[in-house]
Amino acid sequence: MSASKTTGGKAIDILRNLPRISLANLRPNPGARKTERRRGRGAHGGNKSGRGHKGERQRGNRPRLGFEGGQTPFYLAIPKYGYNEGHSLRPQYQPLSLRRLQYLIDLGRVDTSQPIDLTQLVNGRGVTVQPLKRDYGVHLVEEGADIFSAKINIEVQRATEGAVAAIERNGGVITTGFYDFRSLTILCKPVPFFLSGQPIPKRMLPGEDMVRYYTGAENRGYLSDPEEVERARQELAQKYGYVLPDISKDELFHMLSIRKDCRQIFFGLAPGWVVNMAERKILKPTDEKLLRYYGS
Amino acid sequence: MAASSLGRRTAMLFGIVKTFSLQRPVLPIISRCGSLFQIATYNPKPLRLNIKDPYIPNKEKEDTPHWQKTDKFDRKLFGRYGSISGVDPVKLWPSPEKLEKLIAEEQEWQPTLEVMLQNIAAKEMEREKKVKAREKLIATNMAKMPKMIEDWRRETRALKMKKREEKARKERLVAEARERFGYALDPRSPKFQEMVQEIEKEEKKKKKLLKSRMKQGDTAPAAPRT
Amino acid sequence: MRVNYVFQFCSLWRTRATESGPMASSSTAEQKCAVVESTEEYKYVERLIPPTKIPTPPLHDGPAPSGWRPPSAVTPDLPYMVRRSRLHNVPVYTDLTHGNRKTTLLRKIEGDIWALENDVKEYLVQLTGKIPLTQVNEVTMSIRIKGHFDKELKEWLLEKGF
Repeated sequence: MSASKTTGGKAIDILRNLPRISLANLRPNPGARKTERRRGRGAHGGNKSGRGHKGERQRGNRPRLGFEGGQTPFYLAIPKYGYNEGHSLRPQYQPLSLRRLQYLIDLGRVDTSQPIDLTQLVNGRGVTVQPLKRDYGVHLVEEGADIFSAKINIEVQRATEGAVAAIERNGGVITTGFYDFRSLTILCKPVPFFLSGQPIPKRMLPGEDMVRYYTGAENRGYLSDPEEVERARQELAQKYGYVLPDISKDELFHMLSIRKDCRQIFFGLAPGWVVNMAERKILKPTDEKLLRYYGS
Repeated sequence: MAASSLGRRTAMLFGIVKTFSLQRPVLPIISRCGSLFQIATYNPKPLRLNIKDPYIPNKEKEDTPHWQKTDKFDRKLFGRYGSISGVDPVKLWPSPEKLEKLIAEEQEWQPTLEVMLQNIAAKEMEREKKVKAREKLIATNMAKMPKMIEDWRRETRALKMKKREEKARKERLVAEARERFGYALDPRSPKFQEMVQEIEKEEKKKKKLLKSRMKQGDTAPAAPRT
Repeated sequence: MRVNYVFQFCSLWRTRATESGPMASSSTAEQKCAVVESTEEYKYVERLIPPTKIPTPPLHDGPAPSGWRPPSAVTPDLPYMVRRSRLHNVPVYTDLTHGNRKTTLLRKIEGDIWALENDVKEYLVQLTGKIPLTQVNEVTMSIRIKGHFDKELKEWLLEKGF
């Protein structure tokens, strides 16, 4: 019918008719291996052996790399400037284009019937976040906004205006939330955390440099006022020129309106709970002090 | 390699692409805890959690290393094996002393949202104040500028005039001296100085006469001078 | 239009044990008991576990919005077959070695590889005007072509139905 069941075409047929392969009848293709030029062994590897004529070159006494004969070398003449100063303290965000998100949704690696979180993205192998390399999460980027057509409830750490517009245009919901280092590690790799038997910690609030971002309605921050967010949605729709679909009349309205509390790491699981994976149970504390601590 | 891939490919040749199945045998833990693979890869290595034969260290023995008697290890045991590990679940949460320390630390190092917003607002205010003060200063200085420019221009003009006059006067004196003495006399010599003083005296007299004449002329303008 | 958000654990905080013992004045914690609650919230934990099998893509009418097309249900009647990769994509890859050497690799081929090589050469001759240099590896069943032709070859293979 279509394909033969054997691998290879002509080579294997030829091989069948030849004597047994052994080291004695194997040879590389002509031109595959070129003998190297051995220095100091006569003809064109010999005489000066590729070292040149006299001087520092032949005698192997050339100065260090970068030396310019006494002139102030380039690497010293150019003044220092702190381009990379504090680079290891700068927050980084893994970019996620809308095109890639649409691709993941199309291949079924990310489920749109549930709120999309960083855990869902990592589980679908859509992004790789390395909290140890100063990654603070995922940055949603509007590359592919014209292709994007999925109604989702997504939570990222940063989002550009165009990405927000594209998601809301399709009737979806987007929020930006902050995760400190420990919460981010737990979010990316929840199973090792559950296996360690610790209670789920509460998410820390962002530092002063990021509070402004997450309290702003334009960024759909998780600390912002819902009314302001509603106004910002209308304004964005006007700016980008689309009709803002009414989510409240949607059948998936309940799913689209699920948001995490500002201290919550996972959907449906509160801080202070311990997950027992061996027996598929969740343990919750009853001590008032503990509850007060984890509830604050 | 060829043989094993042959088998798989022939199975898939019939156009049905079913879910990719693990080549290694599935571990019994999956039936208990769901698909419990902690590494997020497709086709990962099996995680040998060893749940059927758990190792729970004997705390009373001296042989067991010290780190197997810690709270942290107990938590890990519970997390992996559940209640079989024999760990009291209450120990999983921080003890009251630890909790108090945590609360104190949180209060010291993690301000609430309101406090942070206040701090940010205060910083913004300071920055704005500084900017405003600077701008105000600039505005007042700029307002003064036209007058200052005018003054300066006037002064420079006056200076220039003075210099020009001085120069002219000096030249005139030198010419006078030339006329009087018949040769070019050095302005610094004493003769020149005497001459200059004489000229000054004469000029003063002239001025006085002029002044008295002006006064007389004011009171009796019609009175002619004989 | 005001949207009332459903915060996940507003109601969950209120759950307390019915048999909450008196708070021990001493530092021992034995009198407090932890509530065990199963499966009701465990489903949220199950959602967090990463899947180990690659999920099958859902059915789309025609090409998906991102441009992905599934292989045709009917295998094309050709002497060769190009399988999809594990993540259901067309196995055409570009390579750049030594900073300037561009090659395209066509993997996961089965059947008469020389016929496929002929077809590829014909197609690329039409596109570029000169015969492309190709290397057939019968052991790994792959074809390496000089130059970057990944987009063109992907479309060509999709048209064929692979």
